[in-house]
Amino acid sequence: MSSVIKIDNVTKIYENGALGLKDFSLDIDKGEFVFIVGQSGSGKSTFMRILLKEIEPTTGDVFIDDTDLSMLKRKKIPYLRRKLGCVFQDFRLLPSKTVYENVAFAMQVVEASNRNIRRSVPQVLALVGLHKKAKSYPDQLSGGEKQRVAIARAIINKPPILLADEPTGNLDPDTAWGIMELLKEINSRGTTVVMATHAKDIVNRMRKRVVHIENGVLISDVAEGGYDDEI
Amino acid sequence: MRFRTLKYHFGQGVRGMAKNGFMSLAAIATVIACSFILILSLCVCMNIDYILKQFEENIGITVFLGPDVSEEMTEDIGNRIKHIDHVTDVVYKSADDNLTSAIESWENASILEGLRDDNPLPSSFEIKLEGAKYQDSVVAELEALQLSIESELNAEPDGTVYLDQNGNQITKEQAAQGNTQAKTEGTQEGTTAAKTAQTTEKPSAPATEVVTSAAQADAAVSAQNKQAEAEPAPPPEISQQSAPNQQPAQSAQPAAAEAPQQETIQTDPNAEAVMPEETKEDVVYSSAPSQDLMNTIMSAVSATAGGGIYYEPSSMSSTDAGVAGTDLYDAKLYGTDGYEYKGIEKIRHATEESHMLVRINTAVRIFSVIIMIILCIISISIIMNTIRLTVVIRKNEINIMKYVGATDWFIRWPFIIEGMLMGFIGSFISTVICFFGYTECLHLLSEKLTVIANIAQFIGPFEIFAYIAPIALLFGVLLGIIGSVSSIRKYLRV
Repeated sequence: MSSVIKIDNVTKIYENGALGLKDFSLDIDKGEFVFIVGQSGSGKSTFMRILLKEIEPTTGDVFIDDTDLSMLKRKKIPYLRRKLGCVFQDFRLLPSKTVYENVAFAMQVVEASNRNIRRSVPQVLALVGLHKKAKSYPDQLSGGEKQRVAIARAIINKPPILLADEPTGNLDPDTAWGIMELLKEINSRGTTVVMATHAKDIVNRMRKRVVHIENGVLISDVAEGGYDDEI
Repeated sequence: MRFRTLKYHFGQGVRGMAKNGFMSLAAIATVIACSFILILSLCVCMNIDYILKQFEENIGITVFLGPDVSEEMTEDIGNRIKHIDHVTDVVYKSADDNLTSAIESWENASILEGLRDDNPLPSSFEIKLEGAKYQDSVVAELEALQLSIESELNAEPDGTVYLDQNGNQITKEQAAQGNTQAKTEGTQEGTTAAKTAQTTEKPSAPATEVVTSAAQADAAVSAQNKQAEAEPAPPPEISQQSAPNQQPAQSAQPAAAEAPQQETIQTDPNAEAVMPEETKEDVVYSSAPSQDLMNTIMSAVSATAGGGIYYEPSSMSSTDAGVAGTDLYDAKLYGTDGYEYKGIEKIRHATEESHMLVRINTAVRIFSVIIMIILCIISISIIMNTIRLTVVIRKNEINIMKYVGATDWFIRWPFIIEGMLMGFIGSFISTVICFFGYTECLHLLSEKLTVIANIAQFIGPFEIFAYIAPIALLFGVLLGIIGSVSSIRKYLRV
């Protein structure tokens, strides 16, 4: 099996002495849907940030698409991030840009041609069900719609991996489930989805692989598991 | 970078500026203020520099020529002055010109008008320099030129001076004529003497044979004595010294070598003294050795001069020939007041003034550079703070760009363009303001304060702004770029 994400014995201790991760190892295969669960401060965010190379692990190796992150030069980080679509709890949309512009922005950043942008953006907006709101500004959208825009922006460049950090955290259950349906759809098209969450009901309903972290240590890793599953 | 990306950045830059309207205005105002001060100080510094240069140009060097310098020589001297380094202009002023300008500058000009026919003023060269700081080196060169021209005037190109009996310079041809005359006379006498000797002794020896007998020597000497009258060369400056030597030499007494007091010609009597013992032909040609003698004296004199002691031609008049030898050692140094050289009589220069000007100039330059540096530092820190505020507002945008995989330069460009635009607009506005302000100032100065306008010329608005405007615009643009790039640096570290 070709693992798209490989984390090997990673320990992260922050400069102030706080423990992020301890002897953490994890393999994620191409096309998998993985939940990373755990309480706040358990190490979920550390895990995500290490994948994005926002922070460096103290010891251990991280490979994304067979690229050793510790060998990656600073100048190359943008190209790593183009392989990782990101969705955040707070959406992080540009309020001064319309829905269309927010999505197109991600393509302009990677210097795609205008023709390509004009063709791809409506497609993706249609996929997330927002083609009618292309000219709206983020302020005029509901929470769920904002997250859909964020997801559209994350996948527009067709990254092999989609990282979602509590994408349903700010949403009511119904809307959240809509987002999960969308992520499932994206996953079914071949994108590896890694989602950090502590929404028990969603995890239990999805029956996907669940990785449980507590205090920086991997407690359980269950295929088709639930939130409270033990080993 | 692709063109569409550039277009995108440009659009983003313009939009960013428009979006953060108030902040952009603040930044532009900062640039206006900073470049305004920069332009003002540039104007002041450049004008001070310009005025000092005018003063420097007026501090030229004047070279006065001797009264007997020929036209050719004048031209030659002029050319040689022109070839001295850092000399920008050489203007010839004839004696008449100098008198005219003296008359013009004098109030009681009519007194001088009478001098028209018998002009006491010398002709001169007015020399202009690149700057006052070159004065010393040019004066040194001119002094060297003064020396070499003087020695050239004293000597013909082959180093020999031809003089007639009265001490006046004569041409080579004339000297040669005198020589041949002496030669023929001497030959006649010499042959007669030799013939007499031959008749008394054995006639076997040929005329060219080495003469050993006293009679023959005597005859040769008598021939020489007679011929001495026909000798063309009692040179004035040197001949007075050589005259007493030649006499003992001609009388064929080696002891006479002690007679001369002058060291400079001590070697000569020996050369002369052996003469009688040489062939008849040599004796007969004794006018030629006397020419040699003069050369030797000349070289001896010049050797002494080279040794650091200078002889003074004017003191060696024919009346105090005997004293001349001692004067040789007490001779005044070149450049002493009152002494007049033959070619370039005098060099007038204002060393004190030019040194002062150079000092003032250096001080002004250092001062203005320091002011510029301080200004730049202040401007950059002000603009950095202003732009930083606009960047903080867009921190989110930068953050998002980072997450979508934008390169650092992709993020920077819109900010750079924005900074450039703001810098350009700001410095352009203040350049325009300053241009009209400067023009108006010059106008007022020339109208109301004519006193100042008479003393110094200011640089015209177009000339000075042709120079200042690019500097100010570049300064503004750089200010904007540095300000925005340094402001966003912090937020790129994500």
